[in-house]
Amino acid sequence: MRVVVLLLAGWISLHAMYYNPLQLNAQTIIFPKLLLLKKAPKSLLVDGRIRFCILYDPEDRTVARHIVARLQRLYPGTIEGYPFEATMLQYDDITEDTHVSALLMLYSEHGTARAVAYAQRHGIVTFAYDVASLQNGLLFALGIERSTVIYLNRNALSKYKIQFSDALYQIVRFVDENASNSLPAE
Amino acid sequence: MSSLRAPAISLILAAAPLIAAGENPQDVSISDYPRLASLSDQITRDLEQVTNVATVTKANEPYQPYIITTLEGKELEKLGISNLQEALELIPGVDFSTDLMDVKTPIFRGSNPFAFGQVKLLIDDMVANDLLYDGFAGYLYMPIQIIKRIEVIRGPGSETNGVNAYAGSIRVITYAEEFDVTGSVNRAFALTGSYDTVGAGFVTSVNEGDLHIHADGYYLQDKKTLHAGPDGAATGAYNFQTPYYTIDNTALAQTGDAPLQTTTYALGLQLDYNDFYFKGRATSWQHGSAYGINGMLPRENDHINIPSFLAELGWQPHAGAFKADVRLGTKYDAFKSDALLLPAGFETPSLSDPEQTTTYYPDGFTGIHEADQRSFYQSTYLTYAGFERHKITFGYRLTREETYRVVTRTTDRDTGTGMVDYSDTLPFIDPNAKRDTGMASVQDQMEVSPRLSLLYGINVEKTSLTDTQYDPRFSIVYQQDIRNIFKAIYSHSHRNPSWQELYVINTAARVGNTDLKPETVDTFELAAIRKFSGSNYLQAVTFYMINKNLIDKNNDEHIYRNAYNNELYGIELELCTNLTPHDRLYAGYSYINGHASDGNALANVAHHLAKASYQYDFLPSFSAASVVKYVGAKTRVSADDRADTDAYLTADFTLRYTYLPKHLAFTASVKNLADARVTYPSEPNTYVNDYPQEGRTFLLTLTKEF
Repeated sequence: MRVVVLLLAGWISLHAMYYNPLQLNAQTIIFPKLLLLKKAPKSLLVDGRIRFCILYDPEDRTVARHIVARLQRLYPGTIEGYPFEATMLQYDDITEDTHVSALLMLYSEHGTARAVAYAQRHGIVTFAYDVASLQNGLLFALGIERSTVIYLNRNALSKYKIQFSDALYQIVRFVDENASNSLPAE
Repeated sequence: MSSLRAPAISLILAAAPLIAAGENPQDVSISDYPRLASLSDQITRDLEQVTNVATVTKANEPYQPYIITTLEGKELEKLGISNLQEALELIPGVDFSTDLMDVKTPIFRGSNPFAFGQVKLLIDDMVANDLLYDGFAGYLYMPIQIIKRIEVIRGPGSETNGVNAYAGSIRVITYAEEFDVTGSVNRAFALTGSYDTVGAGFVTSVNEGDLHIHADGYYLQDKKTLHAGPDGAATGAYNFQTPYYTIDNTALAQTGDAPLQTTTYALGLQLDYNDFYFKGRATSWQHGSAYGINGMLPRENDHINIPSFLAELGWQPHAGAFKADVRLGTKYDAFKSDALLLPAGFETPSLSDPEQTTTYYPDGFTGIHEADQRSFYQSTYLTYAGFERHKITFGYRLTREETYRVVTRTTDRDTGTGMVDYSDTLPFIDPNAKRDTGMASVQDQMEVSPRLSLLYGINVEKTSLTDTQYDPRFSIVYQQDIRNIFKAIYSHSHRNPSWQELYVINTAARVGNTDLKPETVDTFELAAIRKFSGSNYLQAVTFYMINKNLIDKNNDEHIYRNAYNNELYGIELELCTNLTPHDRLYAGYSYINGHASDGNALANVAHHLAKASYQYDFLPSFSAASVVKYVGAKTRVSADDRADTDAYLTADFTLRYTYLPKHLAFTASVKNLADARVTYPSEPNTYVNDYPQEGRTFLLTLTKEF
């Protein structure tokens, strides 16, 4: 019931790109849990906590704030026993000194490629708002289709040098980033 | 995808071989398995919950087994859309028609524009069509501020829960759908505009433990009049000739302001407690008598009332793979008219000796007509999802509909002066009108593979007035890849005649016919959906409809008859996309054509409809929007030699400013900016000219979220 209510929670004031509230709300519920299916989840800790960061362009600041607020409500201080922190960062502000556990990447016209390269260099898990963004090398996306599907970018996985537990592979569909039209492999 | 239903234990077992295979035991220790299994189960449950919500809210509409468009209330507010009718006008293939009392109805895909009831309206899942018209004109005024979402399904293939949609169905979901403190919407609004329009309303929710209470309400009033005429007297339809007399009322034809003022108020209430709910909605709709029941221009304050009351108790328990949906409900609606039906000086054949004597009405002919109807229904539907890949729903719905009060008081039809109660001798509706209906339905939604799903089912209906109707439906949804989805749908459906078509008696302007058969339709639809990024998509639909036993009263006697069959076909294109990071475009185009069994062209149908809305956000607090609509010319019925109605193009413009710290939004709209001439076709032998609609109008709205 709680999940349903959270999914139905009100529309965000959308001032930039169109963000589907159900999609966003589902992502805030599922993505942080998905992160913990990484092998050796303690390696996710940054300064002793899981730091889940929303990457945004300036026009999406309101959306990013909304997501951070929801994450803080859903996981107030901890997630599955691990200290948890939701933060937000503009695409332009990413540097080699940026230390985060995971990135949820909103739309960006110019910032995506640089952010993905950074994430791959540092083995940081990336989540896409939009399935189509997997083409840019992001790792995970959520598709609300006939049923709700977690997509994992098979080709990109090796570039991140991240290992997940087998439990993850039982609940995801693989998608090939090089074939944007392909139905994900089962 | 691997099975999402994999139990936790399977994950534990699946993980065990990792160690044997030489995986780094420090990465996944034995103590991790319960945690991983628990987490995986949580995610699986979350995914199922998201799917359930997406299915209920139609967020996954491209994958639904019918042709659907979903409009979100708050997005519509930004476009300056003020009520349900304006929202529906955005949908491809949807046009509107009206009648002598300005009782409007949406026309889907050009299907029988002379009938009401081909489209069903469900407000929070309760059927709102009234019994007399089988229409819902009062609900078209429903302010957008209390509407959370509108789901418009074109074609009959949507309903397998005891409701027969024919050309389409409209589901209005209010903010009652959100039920908990975190999900509640509390808001108030006020508006003012042209024609002295004023209005206000609210939406509120309260939660106490397991009890959720939602209420909404609104009041709207305007003083609209529109210049119309000459009225029906000018056509000669009210001239009479027998061997004993000749009456010529042509000189009494009037041109003037048709009273179209509206006062409507409504209150909705919903209580949810665990698996139980109560829903109630009361709507009062009073409207000017418009162009007159008989096609004679009425007086300034003449009016009709069509109130509507809906109430439903429900129980929706879950047990394992079973889900039940048990409902008990009632609906009350009425038609009340108090109007001058013929002007002073009119002369008609007398009531007692129409062949030889006439009646002269020195002060005109006044009529008070009232009919109260009620419906009771009980339905039980069970859904079983225990078979792999199948979700089976079956159940029944029983309905009783009846008229229980009829008042017919008019000017004395022999003396021409004074009022006489004809309720017992010449009621305008059969006071014994009644219909019992039983419907049984079964449906299976089958997931053949991740790419392919099937839906097939049948409704079987028997009424006390008609033979058994069998309405099968079948649809295929094929997901070729992430971006491309295809649908093929076949459905058969029927529309039972309305009370007006069956039971109106003792009037000349419309004559009911209890021998009417239901209208039936076979619909074939193909759809291709191309998804772009995010929620952007292009949908192309082609349809072919075979309609039989279509009902109209386009004959000299004004008797409702199963007049003709026709075949309709067309295409619909729908685009929803961003052009820049700061805007939103929604556009639709439809082409409709076909032919009737009598060889006549499709009457009152616009072959081309095009609509587009565009919204641009300049700042987080400031946006502008425009809505443009094109409606093509419409041909007349064969006996009507008037020229086609003119095509028209309207453009609306809206500015919206939101004071973000206080959640206060101010919206200013100009509708029909260029003051284009918009008309709806008048029926033959009524008004010489078509029914005019609003020119340029203004609307200011203030909305406050709490």
